[in-house]
Amino acid sequence: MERKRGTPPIARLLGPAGALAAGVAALRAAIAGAADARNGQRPPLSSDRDKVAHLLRRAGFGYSVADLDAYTRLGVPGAVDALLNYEQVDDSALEARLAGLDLKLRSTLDPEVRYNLGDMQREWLLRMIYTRRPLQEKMTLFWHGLLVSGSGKVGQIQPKADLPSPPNLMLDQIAYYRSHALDDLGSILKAVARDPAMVTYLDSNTNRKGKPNENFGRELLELFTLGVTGPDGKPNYTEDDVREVARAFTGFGLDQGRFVFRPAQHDAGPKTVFGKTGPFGGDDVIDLILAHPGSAPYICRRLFAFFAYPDPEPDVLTGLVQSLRGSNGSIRAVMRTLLTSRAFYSEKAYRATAKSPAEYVAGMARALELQTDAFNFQGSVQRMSQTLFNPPNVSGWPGGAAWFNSTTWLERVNRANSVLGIRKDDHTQPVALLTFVQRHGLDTAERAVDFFLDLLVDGQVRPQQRQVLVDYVNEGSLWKGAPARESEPAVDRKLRGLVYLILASPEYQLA
Amino acid sequence: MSMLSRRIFIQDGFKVVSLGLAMPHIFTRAVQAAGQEAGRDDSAVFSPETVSNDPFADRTLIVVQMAGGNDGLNTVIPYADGAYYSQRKNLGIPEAEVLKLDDRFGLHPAMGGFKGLWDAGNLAVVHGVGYPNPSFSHFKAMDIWQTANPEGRADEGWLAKLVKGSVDRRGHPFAGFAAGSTLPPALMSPDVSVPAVDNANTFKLLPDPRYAVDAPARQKALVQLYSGYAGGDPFARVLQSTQDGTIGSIDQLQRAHVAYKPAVEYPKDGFGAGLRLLSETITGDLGVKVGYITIGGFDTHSNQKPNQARLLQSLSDGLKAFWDDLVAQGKADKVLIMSWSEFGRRVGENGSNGTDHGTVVPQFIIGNGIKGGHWGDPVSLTDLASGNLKFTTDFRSVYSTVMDGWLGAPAEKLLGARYPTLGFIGSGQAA
Repeated sequence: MERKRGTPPIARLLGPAGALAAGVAALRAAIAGAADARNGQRPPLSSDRDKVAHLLRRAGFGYSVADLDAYTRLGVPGAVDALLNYEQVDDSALEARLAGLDLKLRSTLDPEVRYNLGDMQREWLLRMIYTRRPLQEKMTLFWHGLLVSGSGKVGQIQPKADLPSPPNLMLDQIAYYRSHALDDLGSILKAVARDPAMVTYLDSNTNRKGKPNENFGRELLELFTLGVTGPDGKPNYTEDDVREVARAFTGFGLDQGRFVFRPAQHDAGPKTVFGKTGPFGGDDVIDLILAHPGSAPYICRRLFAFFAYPDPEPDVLTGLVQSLRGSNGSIRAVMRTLLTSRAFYSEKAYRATAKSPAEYVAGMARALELQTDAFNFQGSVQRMSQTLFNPPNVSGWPGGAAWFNSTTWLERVNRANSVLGIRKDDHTQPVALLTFVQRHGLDTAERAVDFFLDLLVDGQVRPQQRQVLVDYVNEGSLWKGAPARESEPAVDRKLRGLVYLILASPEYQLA
Repeated sequence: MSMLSRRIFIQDGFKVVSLGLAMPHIFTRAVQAAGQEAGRDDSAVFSPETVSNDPFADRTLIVVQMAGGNDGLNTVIPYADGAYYSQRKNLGIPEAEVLKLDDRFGLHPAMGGFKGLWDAGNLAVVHGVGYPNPSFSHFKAMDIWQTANPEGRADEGWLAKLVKGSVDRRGHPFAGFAAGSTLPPALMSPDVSVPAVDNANTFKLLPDPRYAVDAPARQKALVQLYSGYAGGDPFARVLQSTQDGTIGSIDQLQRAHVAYKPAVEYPKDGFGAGLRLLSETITGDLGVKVGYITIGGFDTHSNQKPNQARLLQSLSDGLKAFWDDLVAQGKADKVLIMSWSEFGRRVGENGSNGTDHGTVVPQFIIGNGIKGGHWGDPVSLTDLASGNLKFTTDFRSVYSTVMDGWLGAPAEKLLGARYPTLGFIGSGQAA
């Protein structure tokens, strides 16, 4: 093919001058705010677009340019509605994508067909990357970190003649959280008390009359619903309460991986819990917990810390608690209050949470419009210290600054590097950075830097940091400073370095 | 440190702090350490004499966390006490299986390695360890142990305080080191980044596979992005010190990793792999003052017998191999090992062939420079509080002994109170 002299490949990629100009104009408009920010003119979260970006990071797993455009067109309240009313969103493309992969999620009598944790994790990561119902998936991750069970102890049920396709207990627990993510708190807790993975994980299946096992009862109070003490430092329950709650749940058990209640093993005698006495069973105890003054603030604090920032101010907490109590415990009502609250969009909330490994990896994939089956992604997320389906212990992941240490930090930046470096792979298509150049008219180093800063970190970096990136892109003999005058491979490798640096930056580690 | 005081600016590619004394410790210390590495020359603040005259200078403390709450009664077994067998009808270890230490106590049968250490005088058992108003929550109890604070509230862990300055006068980036991919709260501090490493082979900053020549330019820009970052707490200090500490330690760890030849075969489990890594850092002279490793799964509410046996086997075999390796590498005199667990378990067993959360737990001390034997008063199995053992030895006494006696650190100052030391280091007499 004949190439016109003086027209390098990238210029052809960028297309006719007219299209390029239009692209540049649009891009300039889009990044105008970012330019202000670099001059210290624009505080964070000051435009609708910024607020929606923040919303999609917290109530989801980040966004592509197209996602951000679409949600921004709805306005902030409209975007919150769309996230909360996810049942109305068609997610069949995700299900079709998952169905097209040979992921081993169930075991059968065929010894070749055994589910494995890696495939379960891949499937979940794919949901985080490709779902059009991001809040549903984010809530699922929230519940997994609050009402914790873990595959390490839950284990596998082996298929046998009278149980040819045994349930996958951890997968089913997470599926429950997914399908009931915004239900009322009481029904979720009562279901979790019966959830076979939980019944196994916290030993309810051997909690019998006369010989109670305290494991579930203690963690139900301490970690799932109340906390050892309230914010005032006063105990929410006593050691005697733990022992009595354990008695109330005696008789909860499993048969072939399904929940059963065994009346003969249940202690029907009177128990005293929180100063009230009666022949309580498990559901009665959950009702007593819901009536305990500490339970509504506890769940609201946990939600607010996960989605906004730790330790909400008293009036913020009061608003959430009123929503919960005024709606018979509806988590959807609390989330609506939370996601529309002033505090959620306040400067204090900006970059006030750390991205968990799953958020980091899924967010990167969304922003770069990655086409992947997530092969090997799960191992990387695990090395970043987040083993999905198997939290480190019953309190879940500590989160926050604890996500960052030398090993997990290296794994993050190295994962960004390997995602960008993929050339030809059966599982993941190369990141199409040149299509960003074409679509968004990135015809100078500055425009490329500003575009990716805007996409990945709201353009909110200091001028010195932006200059570091501009200098990086301009440096090197293979690069002449303007994409339009460069060969495609030269542009691509400099852009890979640029995007790597932003994904590795301190700003991008935060949500 | 205020936000403003931590701001760091870039001039000619180097980090410069706006206010001189406000540079996070790790930066200044990494710079010093890099200089020392080159020629083992302590210029600047610390003269070579200061260091060589310090008897504590090249000592290492290895802390082993047995997470989940270890059943102490089935670890150091009071086999001569009838109350033990009447409380432990199903789980009690028969006298014939106990590895007897003397006429009162014996080790769990899976702990042959520890028995060897005991026979050689390298193992001390501290009995009855606990603290007033015990917490039965894993997490509160762990916080208490990791901060050495009865409320479990502190900005930094007790070992981080040591690493931060009290025992690391040379300011080495490897003063603290955690084997594993999680940094324990005991080693967390906003002011110092302790490396947590689970695999030396992957402890590298990878280049673009299709543009490797760009690696130096990219790394330079990466460092500048972090030093130019102006975010607020709690993340700014952690992210900056993590980036800086990691990049500053990769080369040293890789050198130690390549040079290391284990003198023994380590058990092929995660605990064994972590101990091997700790040995690499010690034999590689990386200057580790406090090393940390966790073995988890001791929360034996059900099916305790096989689960605890497996864990104690792993603990005992692993630490015996580690010890033998250190002896062979000529490092054993410089290493002290201390185990801990957030609590022991209820004296009476539950109906699941397990035990629920309890209070008191023994601690193990392993070393050459110690007095082996029993320390602290054994607990009573009949004088209980709601079915739980009453403690006889405050864990902060154990900490004080190790801080004062092994690391030469001011225990009273660091713990905020004076706790009587035990005699396993120094001139004491074993019980």
